Order: sequence, then structure tokens, then C-alpha cells
Amino acid sequence: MPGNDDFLTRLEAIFRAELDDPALRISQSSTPDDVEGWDSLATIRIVAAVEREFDCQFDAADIENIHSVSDISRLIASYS
Amino acid sequence: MTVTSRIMRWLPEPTSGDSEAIRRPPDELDLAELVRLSRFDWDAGNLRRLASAAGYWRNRPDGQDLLRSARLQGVRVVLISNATAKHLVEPLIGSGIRHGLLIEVMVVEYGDPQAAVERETAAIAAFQPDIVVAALDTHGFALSESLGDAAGAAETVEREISRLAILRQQLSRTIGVPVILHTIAANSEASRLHVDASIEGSYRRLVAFLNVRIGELARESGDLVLDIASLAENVGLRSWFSARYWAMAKYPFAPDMVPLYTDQLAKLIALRFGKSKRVLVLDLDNTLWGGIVGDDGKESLVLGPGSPAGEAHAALQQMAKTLRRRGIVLCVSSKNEESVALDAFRTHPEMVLTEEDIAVFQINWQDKAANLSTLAKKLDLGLDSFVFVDDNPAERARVRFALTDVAVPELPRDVTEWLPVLQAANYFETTGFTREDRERSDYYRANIKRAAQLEKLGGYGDYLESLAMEMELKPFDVVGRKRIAQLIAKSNQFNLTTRRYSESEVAALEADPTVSTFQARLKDVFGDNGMISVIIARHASAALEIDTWLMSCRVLGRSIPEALLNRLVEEALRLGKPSIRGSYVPSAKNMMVADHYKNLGFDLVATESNGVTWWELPVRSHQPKPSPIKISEERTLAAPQRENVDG
Repeated sequence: MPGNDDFLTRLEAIFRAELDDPALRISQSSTPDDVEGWDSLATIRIVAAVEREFDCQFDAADIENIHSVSDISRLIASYS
Repeated sequence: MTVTSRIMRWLPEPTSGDSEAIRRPPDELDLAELVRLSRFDWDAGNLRRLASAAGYWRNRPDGQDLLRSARLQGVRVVLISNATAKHLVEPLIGSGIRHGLLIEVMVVEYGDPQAAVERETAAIAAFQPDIVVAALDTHGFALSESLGDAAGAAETVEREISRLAILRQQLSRTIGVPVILHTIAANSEASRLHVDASIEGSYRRLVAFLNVRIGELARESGDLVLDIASLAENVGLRSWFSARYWAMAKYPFAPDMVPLYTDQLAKLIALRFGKSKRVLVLDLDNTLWGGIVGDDGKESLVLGPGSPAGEAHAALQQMAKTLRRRGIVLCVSSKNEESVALDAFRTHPEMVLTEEDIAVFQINWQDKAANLSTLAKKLDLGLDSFVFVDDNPAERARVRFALTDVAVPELPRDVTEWLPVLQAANYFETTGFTREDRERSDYYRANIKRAAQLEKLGGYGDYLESLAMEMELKPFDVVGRKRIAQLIAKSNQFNLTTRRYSESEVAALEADPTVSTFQARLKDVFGDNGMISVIIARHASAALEIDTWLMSCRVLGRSIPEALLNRLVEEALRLGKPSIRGSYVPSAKNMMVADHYKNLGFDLVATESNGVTWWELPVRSHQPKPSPIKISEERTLAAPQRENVDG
């Protein structure tokens, strides 16, 4: 479930893979400003990986509004 | 991931152990392990892991040596796209390892490619690419419908083709390296009414015409084509495109298609570097026919019309037969009693393949990996040119484990599903189609016969004489161009300098008065060997300098270099050059010619720190050896002028 540790671990694994940083730590409050390499194209890659991992599909309009890890968590919760 | 949703079903699925292995930090993943892992079906994320591990090894001080020992060829690729392409870079590097390449990529993306190339020319040139990929997708062409207007439709297609041709020109003018073009998939957002199939100028017909013209452009320029239309057709446009990802990020195709695209692109790039599949090795029991001939008997084999499996086995044989016509060498590898299996092969009424189709039968009880190694020696071809098809998962795993170079397609359990999987893999991709392709498998058969004759004959000289070899020599010309370019692209072993020239560069040499070129064809008592050797010799100030000397390994040990040297000496004398100079540039595969010039009587004059050796032969003192080969030569009037009158 969004919010628990296992969920954040799965998200963190995706961030690590897509941003190519095996030691990266994220929290719900992480934003593109404080995570190195998290630019708009990285958001797209992360979304693609999240959609695969959680077997869901976001609307393009929602993806535009992703500005933090918690935004992604909220989206997953609303689609699953 | 369920079995049916996988796109590249010919690749084995990673085990949980493999999935753990690929997550290890790069310094714990040695290159051999990396190469092994690259053979599996990974998603884009894991391909990125492969890429970063490969990058780690390349950047080590001993990186070049490590890569050479892992037989990875370094390649620099410029990827030009009208859409987003950055996300393709790492998956392409990861997929490249699967095809024996360590790719570096420069991306020129997003926008009008012609303008981008103009703007970035200096940067592209500084990157020193080996190959350029002009990855224009469906959005890069303006195909507005002109319904019911055939002339207007033709005009639209020609306008779009000429823009592509301009890009092609820009590239050859400024960088002059081989190019890979793309066909396009019909945009899934465009009209797909049934009636469009019959209306002139409909979008779907424009796309079809455009793709035909792109194919023609590639044929004329000697470029390769990545047939996106075919890839998209095979997976379905609904899967190929993602309107959402196009809208959000200008992805030219859906993110899930990235591994397929990069796999197929890497395969084409590898082809430009002489890495192609030329041999198909087939198992017998439950592969070419259903059942086990030794247990069930010939009469009970499942083959041919009447049962779904029987028809599927016959269809597999038909596919193999078709490949043979494209020049692929077919071999049989089976654990069986030879007499029993051969009898079934020869006499079963539903057999599509005949004994004539098979270059070598290996029917014995030995380990298949060991058998394949023997086969590679017999055919004088590298194991990386082999594809091994066997229904038995254990045999597949054994060969994959023992011989990482051999391509071993994973096959569905049900034989009726095999062909779509095998065909989608595009194992036997080539750079074009020539008469030699059609006849090549016959050469290998004839070669085996020649070797058999050698065993019967006494002295080697007698053997060579008995072959009644006739060599036809010509300067480069239009007729030979495609095959010359093919040999230059593919020859790895008997190749002194491994310089690759594209078809257009070969064409330019035909008219170059400062170069002597030779294409050699060889006939013997067993038949026509086709074109077997190519030499490019430049007229340097005090010598005839050999830029390129390569030969097909099918005709090793036939005294051909000696015969050609006699001709080169004649050429040097004609041009008034006192000597012939040649160099040997070591590569991972050309050790066999390290002593080529020494064996021909050249003197070593210099050794460079990178292992390149330079050799010279004074031509006046050269005593031509009698050759068992009769040379016939057409000398054209366009041959270079002699510089002074002597010899």
C-alpha cells in the first residue's frame, strides 16, 4: 500500500535504476530539486517503470503534475 | 511477465539468479559474465544496468585489452532523430553487448534532422562516428493525403524522399560513413478506413509507397534499412506506438518497445562490422521431424500434412530450405545412430530437405557443444556465425553455457509456434543480396568434397594442380561492387588491415587513377567459388602500397596470395615503383595473416608500438613462383597510366 516501507522500497528501486544511482535514498518529500538527475525526461522513464511495476496507467495530464515522490504515490493509490 | 506477452521470445528469460547477478555493482560483474547476461530478454532498465557495467570496464586503464579479450568491438554511433532519442542510448549499449559490440552513442535529436546535422556537423565529425543512424520516424515525414489524386500522391512521396536523400547527401559529404535508414510505421492516429486501401493518395497508401522508396534509396546508396514498418507490423501498431508517450515526451514508439528496437538496431550495426549469422545447425528428433527415429522408427515419425505438429515440422524444413537459397549453410547435429537417422532423412517421403541441402551431418552420440566446435573448424567459420535450433531445453542450455558465441533461440514448447518466433528474431540479416549469396552454401559443400579429395591424393602440389583453378582478375567495377563491399564489410580473418569501406566508397575507388584495384574470382573442378579476394593498392611515391588485402577463408591454402603477388609485382613494375609495401594491422580476428607478408618473402621494415608491422618487397629481385592457378584478366582501357617507361 502507498505509504508503507515496502512500497517506498519498490519506488526507491525504480528511482535507483532509472537514475543510475545504486545508493540513492528517496522519501515521500523528495523532489526533482533535491534528487540528482531527476529531470523531465527522467520523470517519463520513472513513470514508465512505475506503470510496469504497479501494473497501472496514468493519464498524461496527471503525469505533467508530478513534482515529488508523494505525487507519484498518490497517483498509484488513485489508479490501483 | 507471462510467456505470451514477451516480444523477443527467441531470447531466454533470465532466471532469478541472473536477475540478481545483473544487479551486482559493475566491479563484481566481469566482462565474460556481462556477455553471458546480455543474451537474456531484459527490459530497458536492465539493459541500462548492462550499459553502465560495460562503461565501468571500458573506463578502466586496461579497458581496451579487457574488451578485446571479451571480443567486444568498439563502435561509435551517431543517432539522429526527429523525436526524443536520449532514452534509447543506454538500452542500445546494453543490446550491443548481445551482438558483440561496445557502442558509444552521440545523439542528435528533436527537430528537423537536416538542420540539426548542418548545425552539428563539426561536433559529429569530432565524435568520429563509425556509423550514422538516420532514425526518422513517422512524425518526421509530411504525408498529407491527396485523396483520389495519384499524381499528387506521387509528388508528396517524392518530395519526402528527396528530403531524406538530402540528409543522406549531407551525411556523406560531411562524415562519409555508412548510414542506417528506417522505414516508418503508419501513424496509428491516422485514418485507417478499409476504403483507404483502394483510394489513391490515402495516408496508408502514401506510407506504403514511401517505404518502398526508402528501400530503393538504400539499395542505390548501399545503406542498410531498419524496417520499422515490419517490426511494428509484427508486434501490432497498438503496441508499437504510445500516443500518450508521444504526447508527453515525443517518444517515437512505446517504452516497452525499446528493447526490441535496440536489439534490432544493434544487430544491423554488428552486420556492418562483419558480424553476421551464416550457419543454421538443426537437430533431427522433435525438431526437423516429430518423434524419435531410433525409438519410434521411420514409419512413425510425425512429418507432413495430416497433423498440426507434422505440418509444423515440415514448415520448419521449408524455412531452412529457403534460407539455404539465401546462402545460409545448413548442418544437422543429432544424437542418433547415423545409419538409422540418415536413412530416415534420405527416404522419408515427407522430407522437404534433401541430403544435398545439408553441408555437414553430425550424427553421433557426442556432446553437441563439442560437435559444434568441430563443425566451426570444418567450415572455417567463427562460432559467432552459428545459430543452433534444438527442441531440447537441456541441449540449448548446454550449448549456451559452453559456447556463448552461438545464438541459441529459445523455442515455445509447441512446435506450431516456432516459426513466428524464429522469423521475428531476424537472425540471418544481410547487407544485401548477391549471386554469391545464392550459391554460397554450394561452395561449402564443395569445400568438404575438396578436403575429402585431399585425403586421397598424394602430395599437396598434386592436389592443387588437380583442382584446375582458374582465377579471373578485374579492377573494381559496377558489376562486382556489391560483392566487393560485402567482402570488405564481412571479412575478418584473412584481412590484413580490416579497413571497412562502404559501397559508395568502393564505387569511388573504381574511377580513382591513383589506386590499383583487383577483384578475383576463382573457378575450379568443383565449381565457381565466386569472388574470393579483393586488393586495393595505392600508388605511393616510391612504392605500390597495399591498403587492403583480404580473402575468403573458403580458399585458404590454395596458393592464391602467391598468385596475386605475382600480379602485384607486375603492376608495380608497370607503374615504375621499385617496391611493394604492405602493413599488417592486428585485430581480434586476423592473427592468421600476421605472417602473410613474411611468407610471401617481404622484409620487415618497421614495427609500431600498437603492433602494426610494415613490410617491403623490392620488385626487381622478385622471382615469381610457378603457380597452380591460371589467371585470366580483362585489362580495361581506363587503367592508370604508367608513370615512366620501363619494366
